Amino acid sequence: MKLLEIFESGKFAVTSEIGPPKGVDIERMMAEAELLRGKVDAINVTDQQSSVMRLGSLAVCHLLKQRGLEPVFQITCRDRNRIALQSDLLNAHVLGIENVLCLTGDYVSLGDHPGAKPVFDLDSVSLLHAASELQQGRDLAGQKLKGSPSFCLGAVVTPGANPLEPQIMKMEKKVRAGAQFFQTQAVYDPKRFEEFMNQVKYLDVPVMVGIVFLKSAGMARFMNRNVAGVYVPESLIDEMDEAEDRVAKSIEISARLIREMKDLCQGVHLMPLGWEKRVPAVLEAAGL
Amino acid sequence: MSIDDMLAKAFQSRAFSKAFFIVERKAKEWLFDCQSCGNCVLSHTGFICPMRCPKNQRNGPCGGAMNGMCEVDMSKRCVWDEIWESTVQLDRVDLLTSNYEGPPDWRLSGTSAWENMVEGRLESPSIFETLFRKDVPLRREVPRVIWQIVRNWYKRITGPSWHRYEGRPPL
Repeated sequence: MKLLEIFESGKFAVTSEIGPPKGVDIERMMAEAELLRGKVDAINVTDQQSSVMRLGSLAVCHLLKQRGLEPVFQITCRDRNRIALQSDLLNAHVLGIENVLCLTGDYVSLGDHPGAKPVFDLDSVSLLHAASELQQGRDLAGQKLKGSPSFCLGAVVTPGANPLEPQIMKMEKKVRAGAQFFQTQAVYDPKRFEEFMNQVKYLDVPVMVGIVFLKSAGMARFMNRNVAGVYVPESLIDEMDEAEDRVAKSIEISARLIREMKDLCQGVHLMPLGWEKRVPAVLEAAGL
Repeated sequence: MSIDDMLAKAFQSRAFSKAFFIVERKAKEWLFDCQSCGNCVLSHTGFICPMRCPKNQRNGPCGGAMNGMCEVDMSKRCVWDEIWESTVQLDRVDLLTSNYEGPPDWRLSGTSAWENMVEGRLESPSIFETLFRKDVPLRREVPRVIWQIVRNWYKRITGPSWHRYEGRPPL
């Protein structure tokens, strides 16, 4: 099922994500995916997250689909040129994958094969453009296809970027290139998010706010220092610091953020980073 | 005869073509850290070369910049931060926003962008059309563009020293 159908029905969409393992032992990952069954509308499968070589997104999406779970295929421009990217989009369609999230991807030197050749032949906007062209029955070179695929195309945006204007400019280009929904980088400040949503109202596109579970005060401070576009307010860090039961506090904070931002956007994207077990508890506490 | 036709005729001579490219490449290397991709979009991006970005982003920032510094090399400014600043100063944000830059044609890498433009090998609008704004008199626009190029260049070469940052990859 396409995510677009959920937005059109007016339902608040919920997605979460799983990361394929480094290796072929998929038992744990599939167990994590099973925990999300019935709780979320779709599951993102990351594409070599942080440029670390792992099991691929396409294969895992196919496994989810076989088990009756709805995947969102994340595809990045880091490792493939335009020929391979377009081919993988076709592959995704014949495997029954309908939701595709187009990203630029992390840089190669930040991962575990820092000396590999970075590709970046397309960027996220031209990748969306390529996917739209495929849906029209032709490829980037203008050649006709025998049967065209059909996708629900997603993209990402960083509401906390500074300066924000170029981010919104790129978001607008992504919408023009065919993006039908957006998932955001982690947001911890509902006020800032409201300002962002007011600025992008004119694009009239569904936005799913990103929630990363705060595991500890240290993690929050680390993100403030090292993760672009993520800002955890001091009040939340203090709350985590003082909490006796960190897990319960984390669930409470995530649920509260979802409740506060629910009316501002069309969905939520949970990034549990290993805390997949707690997703149902957060959704329950948030009343979803 | 327009300037396009005149150049097209001149480029038929191999000697002119070679000499022109040598001058173009050296000048652009010096002024813009040109990567000689042959698909020049400098006039759309405030005369900052987007191919300097490690991820070759031609349509906008990737979202990995921290406080305006590049995530790949924390000692350098994000190229899109520079582009945004320069286009705002040049009053060309509309040009930046309205243009979808297609992926570069890699067959043209290492060739003269001006020749490619004149010969019609590029899809994006001609540099001749976008080099100077049409709605401003040339006598005001030309010095403004030159001043902006000098300003960008000075800012880049006087940027922070490498050794002050820990993020520089060991080379």
